[in-house]
Amino acid sequence: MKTLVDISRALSNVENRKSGYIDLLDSLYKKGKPAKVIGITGSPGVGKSTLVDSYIKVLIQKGKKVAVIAVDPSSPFSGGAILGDRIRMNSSSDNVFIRSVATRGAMGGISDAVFNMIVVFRAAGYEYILVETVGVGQNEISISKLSDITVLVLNPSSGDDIQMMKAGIMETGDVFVINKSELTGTDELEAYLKASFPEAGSKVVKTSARTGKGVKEFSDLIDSIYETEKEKIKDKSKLILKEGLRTLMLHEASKRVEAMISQADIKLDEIVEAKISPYEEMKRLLSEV
Amino acid sequence: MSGKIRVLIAKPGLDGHDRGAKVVARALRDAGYEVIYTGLRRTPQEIARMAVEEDVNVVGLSLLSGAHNELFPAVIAELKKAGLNDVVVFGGGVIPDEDIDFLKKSGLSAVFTPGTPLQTVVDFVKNNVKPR
Amino acid sequence: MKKSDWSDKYKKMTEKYPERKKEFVTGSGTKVENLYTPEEIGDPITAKYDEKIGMPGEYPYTRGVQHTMYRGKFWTMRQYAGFGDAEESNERYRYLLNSGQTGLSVAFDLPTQIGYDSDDPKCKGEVGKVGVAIDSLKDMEILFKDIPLDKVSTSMTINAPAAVLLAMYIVNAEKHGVNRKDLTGTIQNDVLKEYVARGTYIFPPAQSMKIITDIFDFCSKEVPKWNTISISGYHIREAGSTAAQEVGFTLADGIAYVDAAIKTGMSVDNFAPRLSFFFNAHNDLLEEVAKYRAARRLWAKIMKERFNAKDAKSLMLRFHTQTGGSTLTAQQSDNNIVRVAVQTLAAVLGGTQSLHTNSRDEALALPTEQSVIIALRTQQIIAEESGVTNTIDPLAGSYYVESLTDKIEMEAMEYISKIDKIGGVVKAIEGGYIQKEIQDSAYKYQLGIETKDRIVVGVNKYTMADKPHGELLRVNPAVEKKQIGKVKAVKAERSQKDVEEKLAAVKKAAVDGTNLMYPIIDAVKVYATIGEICGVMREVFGEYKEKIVI
Repeated sequence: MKTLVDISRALSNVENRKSGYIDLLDSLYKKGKPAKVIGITGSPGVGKSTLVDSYIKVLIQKGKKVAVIAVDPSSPFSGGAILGDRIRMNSSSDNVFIRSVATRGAMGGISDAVFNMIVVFRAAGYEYILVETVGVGQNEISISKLSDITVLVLNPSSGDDIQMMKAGIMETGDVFVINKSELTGTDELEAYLKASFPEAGSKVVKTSARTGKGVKEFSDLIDSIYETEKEKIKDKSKLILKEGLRTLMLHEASKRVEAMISQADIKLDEIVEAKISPYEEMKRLLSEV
Repeated sequence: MSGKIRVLIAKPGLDGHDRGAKVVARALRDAGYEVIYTGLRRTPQEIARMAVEEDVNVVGLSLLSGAHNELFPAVIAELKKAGLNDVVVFGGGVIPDEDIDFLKKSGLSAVFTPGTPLQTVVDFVKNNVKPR
Repeated sequence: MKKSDWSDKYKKMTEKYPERKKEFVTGSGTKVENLYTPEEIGDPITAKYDEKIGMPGEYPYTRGVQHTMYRGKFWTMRQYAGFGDAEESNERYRYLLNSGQTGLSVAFDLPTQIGYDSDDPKCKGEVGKVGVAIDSLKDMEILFKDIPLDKVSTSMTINAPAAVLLAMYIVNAEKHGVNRKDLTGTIQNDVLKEYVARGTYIFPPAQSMKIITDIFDFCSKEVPKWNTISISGYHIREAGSTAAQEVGFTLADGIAYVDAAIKTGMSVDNFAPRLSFFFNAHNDLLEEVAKYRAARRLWAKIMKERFNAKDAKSLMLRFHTQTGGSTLTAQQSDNNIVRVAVQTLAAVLGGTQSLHTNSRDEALALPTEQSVIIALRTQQIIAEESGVTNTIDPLAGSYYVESLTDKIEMEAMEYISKIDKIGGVVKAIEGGYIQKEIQDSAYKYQLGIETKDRIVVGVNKYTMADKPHGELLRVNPAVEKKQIGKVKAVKAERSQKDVEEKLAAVKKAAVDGTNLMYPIIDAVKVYATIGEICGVMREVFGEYKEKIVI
């Protein structure tokens, strides 16, 4: 993968599961270099994209290569999507690659192709891979299964934090960012987070992403976690791989099941006549998978 | 499994009229395509860069400021420079009929002038763009 | 108010604005009164009339902001014009003035509107295309050559860099012996709608509001006859909104500007009399008439009840109108002449103070001389021949128009309340509420055309193989090169030392928060360019990043 077009095509091939994509991923994985995978989520309007944009600028200044996967929902009616997150991020540097990904009806909101796309970016040498998505439904949980560190972006006095708490989503956050921290309610929110989440509560960063305030602090915090919590990061990467393996296998398995249902010689007549039950037939077919 | 068709809807130059671009983007989304809308004030280089990163199959250029004869060919040149040779490009906006020949010779496959039904644009993508 | 009382006031007003004719009659010779009220038809609901409809020139101004309206003076016929370089546009302005136009309206090109010089690489292909290219005071001097600025009022459609263009206008006028206190005109200066409908913003909202209130303050002291803002609904409608949204979002913007000015310490009656508005004249004639009447009544109430304005002038919604560009078709383009005539009627029956009519070829290009003359004649024919200007607000009392006026006022107020709940227009823009409303209406409108629920003659009904249209205006491509040469020449001839000094003063004012108009005027005098002045402000204020809502 030498050029940007090569990388981009590879991303498409794995997203679309073009024939041979497993072999491609196999070889790319082995070429992969270590990367920091950071998930960034939060309710609409909290300033995720602006934060990502400011964060990218900080990383670029340090000479890092950054990839961004911006996830947007597909329309449940048409299957199409309007992917607009990336506009607030500036990819004018050659060291930044921004790719928009639609959920394509994925359960849990994040397409399992994202795991594979991260493999592509690793092989292309991107040291930071940011996965950004709107925190709606189960997205936060999906994102935390893919990322070394999950960042939850909140706004003071928005009330969203209460909603998220109810859904058990706050637990997925490793780092909290209070964006628009110039507004009132910031101190209260910070206190609440510190009191309610012993681990992540100690990792609260106040930012004003539009002015850039706090973003360098955020960047340093992320890097320091990789430095000081090596074991945790390692354990997390294993969890990520296991999860990745699970979705890969489920996908393959479901493919084969589909193939069987459409091609195999299923003893439908006997089932109708109750000579055998669907359950016996299932056991028989499964033993052949 | 063949992939989804991805469309880039772009606003080159300084023109701030985005009603048409947004309406077309929506129509394409409703027809099942994945649409990346670039927002306003994009240079030809930025548009080509986005087209590369998003690996789009088709690029739609919207312009109502009269600068189409300069900017549309500039976008096509940047797409080629970036190594995208199989992207279908169409344009739309305030474009007099007499300019369409020149634009087509520059590399646009279609130009949709005022009054074009949305279905025409959707059909164009359906009939002229195949997944890779 | 009894008609007899109002008539006394009317008579007094005619001392200032004498009636245009000795006697007003219909086409067939029947006498036409200046005003018709329930009294004339024996309608018993006079109480409701007083409170809801009222008299022209009296609160709540539903029937018009002046007592005499077109009986005394027609609206200003003000065709928006500009293209190429200052020489070409100056020629077009003199042509229009000689043809009976009564005010000037300047269209600037996109580089100028976005605060860039013509030689900036971002501007390639755009110079002189949608308006005239103005890079420095030098261009302004050429633009208004031989035009008496003490006699002609000029409207300039300029928003983010309005301070710079106003400064150039003032300096040029003073160079020709006209005192700034005598200058009349308008700058659009309405940045809020740029973020949601027009797209020529530069700086973020808060900083832009500061520049706008600086201009309010400066003009209230130095240029008292100048309309400091043209709070616009035209573009919001063009972006796809409904009539009620046009009124609601425009007046919400107005509220934001008034709030901002009051926060800087100005008292409302100091600046409110010089606020003006700009609306669209769309296809549905009667809805448009109702819309203007609703806007006037609603604004009057808002200024009185919400802002406690005392000066009657603060309560009056004065407005300019432009016929809806987005209604023009490329197909069978002569039909557009008819469309514009209907839209002109709407604006006139709605009581506009000033009007621009589009030309038949504007779905394709800027207007040719032949086309713009027809557009101007449309106004003149309706003014002189149609009779609708013989009496004031003739559609009042129509069951349909009054009930539609009520409805639009109510719907507009709902939008304003919603925006209040969100925390004001700036927050509503940040959250994307206004943009989403507009986009949803735009999409609905288009789907209506696709399903033929909405007919566009010549496009989805009564189509035919088109005759080739007439000659179109093409901006000379050499203009860009020529203008780039001009900018370079200006930069070479001026004192670079002076420019740097004056630019530093602009920067300091931007940082310190003092009134920017004064240092901008100084910078303009030494031929600093618009790109340089705006560049300095960009450094301090930053640039707005679009929020995409589809």
